[in-house]
Amino acid sequence: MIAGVWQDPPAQRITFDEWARLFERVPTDLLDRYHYYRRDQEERDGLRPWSAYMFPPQTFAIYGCRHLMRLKYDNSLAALRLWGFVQNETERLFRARQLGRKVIATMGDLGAVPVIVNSFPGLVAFYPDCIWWMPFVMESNVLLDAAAELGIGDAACFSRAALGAFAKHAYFPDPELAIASTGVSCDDFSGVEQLAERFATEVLWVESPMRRETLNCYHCAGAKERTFDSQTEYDPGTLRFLVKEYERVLVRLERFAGYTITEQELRNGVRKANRVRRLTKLLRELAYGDGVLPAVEMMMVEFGCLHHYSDIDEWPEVLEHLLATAETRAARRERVVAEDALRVVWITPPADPLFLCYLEDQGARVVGTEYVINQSLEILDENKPPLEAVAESFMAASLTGSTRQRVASAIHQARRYDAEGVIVSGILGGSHCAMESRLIAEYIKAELDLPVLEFDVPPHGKEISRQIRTRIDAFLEMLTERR
Amino acid sequence: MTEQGTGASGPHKELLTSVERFGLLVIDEKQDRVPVFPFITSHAAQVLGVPLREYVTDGATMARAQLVAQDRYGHDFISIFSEVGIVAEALGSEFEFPEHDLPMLRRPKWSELVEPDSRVVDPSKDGRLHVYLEAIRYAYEARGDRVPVLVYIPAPFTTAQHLVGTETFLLGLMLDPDRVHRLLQYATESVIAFSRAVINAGGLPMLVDPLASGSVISPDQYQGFALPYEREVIDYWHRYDLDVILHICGDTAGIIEAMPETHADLISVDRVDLGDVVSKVGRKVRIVGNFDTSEIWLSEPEAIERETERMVMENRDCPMGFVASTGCEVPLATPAENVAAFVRAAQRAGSNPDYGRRRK
Amino acid sequence: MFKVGIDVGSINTKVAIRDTDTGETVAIHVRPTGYKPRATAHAAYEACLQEAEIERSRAGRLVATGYARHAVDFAHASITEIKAAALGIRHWHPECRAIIDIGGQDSKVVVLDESGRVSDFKMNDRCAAGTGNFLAVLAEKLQVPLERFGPLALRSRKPVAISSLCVVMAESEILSLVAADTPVEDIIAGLHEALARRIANMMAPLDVRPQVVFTGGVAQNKGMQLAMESALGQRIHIAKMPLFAAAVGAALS
Repeated sequence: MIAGVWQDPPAQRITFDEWARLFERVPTDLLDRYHYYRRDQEERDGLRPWSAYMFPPQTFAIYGCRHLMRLKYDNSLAALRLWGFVQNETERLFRARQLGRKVIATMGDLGAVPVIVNSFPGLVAFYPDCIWWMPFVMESNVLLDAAAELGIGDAACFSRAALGAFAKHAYFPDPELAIASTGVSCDDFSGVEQLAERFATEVLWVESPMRRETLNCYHCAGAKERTFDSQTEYDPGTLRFLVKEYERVLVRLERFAGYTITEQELRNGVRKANRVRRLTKLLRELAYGDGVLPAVEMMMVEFGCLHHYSDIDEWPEVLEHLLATAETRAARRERVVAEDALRVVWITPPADPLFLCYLEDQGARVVGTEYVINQSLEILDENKPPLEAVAESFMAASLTGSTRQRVASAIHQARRYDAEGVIVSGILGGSHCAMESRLIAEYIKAELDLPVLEFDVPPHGKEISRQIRTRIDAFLEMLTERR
Repeated sequence: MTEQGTGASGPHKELLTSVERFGLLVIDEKQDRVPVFPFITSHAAQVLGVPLREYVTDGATMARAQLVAQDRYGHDFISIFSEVGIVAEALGSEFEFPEHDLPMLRRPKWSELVEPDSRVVDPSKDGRLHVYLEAIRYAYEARGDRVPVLVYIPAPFTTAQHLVGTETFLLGLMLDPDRVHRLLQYATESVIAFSRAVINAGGLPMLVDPLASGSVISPDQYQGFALPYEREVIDYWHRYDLDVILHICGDTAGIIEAMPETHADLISVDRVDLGDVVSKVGRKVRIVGNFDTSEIWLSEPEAIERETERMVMENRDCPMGFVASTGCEVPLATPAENVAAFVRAAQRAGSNPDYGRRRK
Repeated sequence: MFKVGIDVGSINTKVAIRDTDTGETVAIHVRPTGYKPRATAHAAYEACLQEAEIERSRAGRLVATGYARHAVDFAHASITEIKAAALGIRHWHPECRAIIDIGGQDSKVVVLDESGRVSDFKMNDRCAAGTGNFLAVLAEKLQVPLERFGPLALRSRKPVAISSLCVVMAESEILSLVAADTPVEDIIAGLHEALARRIANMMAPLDVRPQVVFTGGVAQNKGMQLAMESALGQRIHIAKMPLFAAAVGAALS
């Protein structure tokens, strides 16, 4: 094995076992090349570096993530890096605290507040919300049981797992400050936030306002603005309100950090977030357009826009690596799915990654997604004052408007990538999802004349239930016949 | 397969699972209590009430016994282990399997120190390696989200002795060291090949090297012949970022300071002064030790509780972390109430009342 | 030449053999699926061949469908029961534009376009509510054989209102009705209405045009046909050989 030399095999989705064999061929010095919290690592002496993260699914399976054995993976070095980095986040957050950084839980708004937090030197933002996929990845009730003991049971969305994680103090360090968004956000998660209050030293509540459609807003007298990136229409009064909320956040953060932040530092924060969002956009374009990356890896990429998996410096490097891989593949016309795979837009794909794998196994591919995180994909306007830019990106948020507005982005993607069908999956217990699905389906049918499949995602398991597999299979049969 | 009982929660409900607790230990965070790790190996056969021969030749039986024992005692690791000849057997040494005793070496692969062939074990076919793999998969499916499935892998030094017989091997250390090194390299390749399959099945490998003990060889011989191969295996496991326990039984006082050079993350010791170990290497590695295995077998439960408590109180603040364990395997015939007394006392004495309290 | 369809359902396994020269279905066979779908499928296939006196070598292409279709490892292909039902029903009912299929484990509504292709479908969610199982469980509770449900329901003058479709909750409702000496035919008719309402809700967002054909095990129940007709306000046709629609459809694919 020649040190450091690596050539990706032709693009393919591979099994857990196949990754084990491929991993054997990766040179060790290549594994040692990548570290999180890079700068802190250089100062350590002699001891085995703890900040490497380039590890295969086997590592995380051994530490409890049983579902990883059943998934399929992209076979590139960049994907290995992606998986290792994402799976390593628990460790990373504890190391952050050990290094003297202050760990701040941002909750409920999915993408906006971390831009402000991460502008401060020494502060690290993370989303406890993201723990919601752990019950699926571990095939385990451990976190859900812990949440149930605190009062949130089966009737609520899987994001209740976050409460279990708070109670256990073992998935992330107890945050010294939590910034919890409520108002127009997920009802179930607002409940989680309230119950989690006792586990954070302090909670700062932020109200996310409803984005009024100017069309039927009686008090804004026809004034309307559009967001910088997606051109989502909003009421300027709402924006002003949110900027005021963020000013409050800023004051609290300065007091907490004992540090007065400059306008320039905030602008840098916006630029850093934008770098991630731009990379994500390019990756989406290549993955959904050309089929060069699998849907599961793309799910992880998209969610990275929320808080950069707690490492604002390393995450964009991971994305650059993926982008280089994706571009090489596109240039060579290599794909991870068949060229004639059925093209599907998926609204709120399940936290269980097995679903995305299954769709690809059955000869389809994802050409668009709506994960309720539109706000974090929105490019920020660098010419605006930073807080205003952040607030404006939130005006594109999935949950803060009508269902029709939420669907707009899915419809846009379906047109752009010539989708042949749309899947809408709701979360059993998720209060908005369960009721919104039918409405979403209606809007899509009205606008696009595409078949729509709706189903509710069941609780975690080792495999997808036969009934749901039948639905997906029948849906794909239907799309095939339409060709 | 039915969902197994409360597992890590043991007799009373605890906040963390064993997986969560071990996870905190290896990233240098305080846990709700010290992990408790009596080496419950073949003793589990007695808990389930199956003959040892069945336990060591049938993976499902081994796993079931382990799960039942873990339910009963509430300790923090499942232990997949038969005896240390497992890799040598897969390479061609012959063992016998008494119904009520552990496998014994009948005839080593070679009767003299020869140039080894080029064979590497095939874990799916050779010897009883598949028994381990089956046991790992079974236990992992049943409880892998909550309890680590620890697999005792014999180190190259111990494996090599089972390939040529102890006497031949020890003589070879002095008479033909080059050939011994080639034999050790040969053993290393198969140890790694086997551990690769273990890792892929969901097992966390732990390296055991009983024949590298100070009771058998000198510190110089340890450094020259055992340590480099221990390190080679551990470095391989570190490619997977696994947190490795190295266990050497017997007297390791003379080699304790060298043991961290294997790159092990946790060092497990047997008949040595634990305080001495902690003061010598406790700043470099986490310490696993070392309740006397004759005591756990023969003492009264009250005495075991007392002694366990003392051991845990004295060592729980070991700088890099501490795991309360037995010095070696819990003897087969140990009364269940003795094991329960050990676990109970270690959990109590090792508990951290400040866990989860808000930091000021 | 012959073609074979095997529909491995959650309750019954059905086999249909078609003669491709004459276009006739020459043999059918049904048996309970049990816990070993693979073995059952095999045995059902062999039995059907034997009944029709067809040698295995002449059997030709075999297509599996149904809940446990993937267990039929000797099949040449497999299709979902949705597609299979569409093919089978259109074969006998060329005017059909919508299929209501209430089976043991699930129920579904399939909408067909003019040429008979599936253009939309819905399946019931989550639990036994809305499936044949709902009736089966409550039949036991009432100690009335399921096959008597249809005739009894047709005798009902005043169907009771069953408010819950949850089997567990419906059970307790029934207990209090029984305690109040409510005639059993009224309770049964009430259960049919409740189930029909559920199916009608499921159909609401779909573009359902006549003709509507009712299939699946529950379609053998005349009381259910009546309940469905009044819930939907339109005529419902009972499929020819409702149990075998998917098996025949698989053989046609």
